[in-house]
Amino acid sequence: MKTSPKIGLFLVSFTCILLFFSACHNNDKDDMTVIPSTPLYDTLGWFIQGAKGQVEGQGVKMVNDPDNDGKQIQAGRLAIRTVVNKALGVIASDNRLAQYFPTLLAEVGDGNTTGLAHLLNSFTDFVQTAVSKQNVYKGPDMKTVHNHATFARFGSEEHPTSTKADFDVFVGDVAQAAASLDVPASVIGQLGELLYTTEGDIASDAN
Amino acid sequence: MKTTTRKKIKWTFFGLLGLGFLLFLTLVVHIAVMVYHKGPLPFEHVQMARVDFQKPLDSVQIASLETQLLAQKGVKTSYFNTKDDNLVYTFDNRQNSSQKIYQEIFQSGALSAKRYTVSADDLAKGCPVMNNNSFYGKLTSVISKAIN
Repeated sequence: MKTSPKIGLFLVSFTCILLFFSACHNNDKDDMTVIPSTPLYDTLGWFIQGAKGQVEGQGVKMVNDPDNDGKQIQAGRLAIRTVVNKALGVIASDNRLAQYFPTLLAEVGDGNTTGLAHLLNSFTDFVQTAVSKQNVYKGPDMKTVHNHATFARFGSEEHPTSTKADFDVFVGDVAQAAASLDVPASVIGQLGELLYTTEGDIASDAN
Repeated sequence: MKTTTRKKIKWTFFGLLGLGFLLFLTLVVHIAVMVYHKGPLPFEHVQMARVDFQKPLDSVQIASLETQLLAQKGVKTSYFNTKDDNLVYTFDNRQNSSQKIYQEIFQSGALSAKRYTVSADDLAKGCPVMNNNSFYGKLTSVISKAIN
């Protein structure tokens, strides 16, 4: 009788330690052997290197990151980040959308990481995952965060979800940004199609 | 009787404390794995700012404003939206601030320009990305600095 609580306690801590070491299974390692890519990702990677067309392997090719000294980046990701960076500027200037992304224009103290840097990174992760089939986006899913009922920051009691019209504006801004960077129209079309695959999760009145 | 109760309380207390510690350690290790070798984000210190104009500007005015703006310390890009009459620009927040840039270029009455500021109410809504002031955000930046 007297020893049973101790045994119980021992079992609990043992389970905790076991969980501690087993919970952190790193799935990424399996993905790193062959990095997934798609024709669109290859085209984007080749485009950012100054050429046109789809050449296999150019999406995942490591190139120097022009905006991060001494670091390398996949050419496909660099292309996506360049478009996203431009698109965030267009979105911040768009009166219909700026309110949805307050973090973009929020002031941060000298030398602190900006909301732009965070949003640029996670948005790039999201698009890279969609385009290349690499599993880099680790954030919450789109349906959860675009409904006031499941994500309090989004919308309000009166307007809990966004509409198809909002989403069209958003895609239009991304397309405008891509066009200003001379991304070929066929590539913009494919990017648009990919973005529209998330419309059902984001716009409540989508078909 | 009394001592066993006290012992039980003691064991429970240390058990819960130990459990809490293990869970915290798990959180730290997970964050460490997540941020290891990530290094600083690209564009880490690039801040975006916006100025709204109450009346439309002509192309000569826009060109001259953009030239002045890009000559400011730390300013990187400039984008003028002629549809909504505003200017969005980016700058390095270690070298300059939107307040200083506004005072330098846009404040003169002739332009009727207004600095766009985000209210605390707005900031509590919309896409959060990551809140650096939250406990989790602070812990992440501490760990990131320690291991990278």
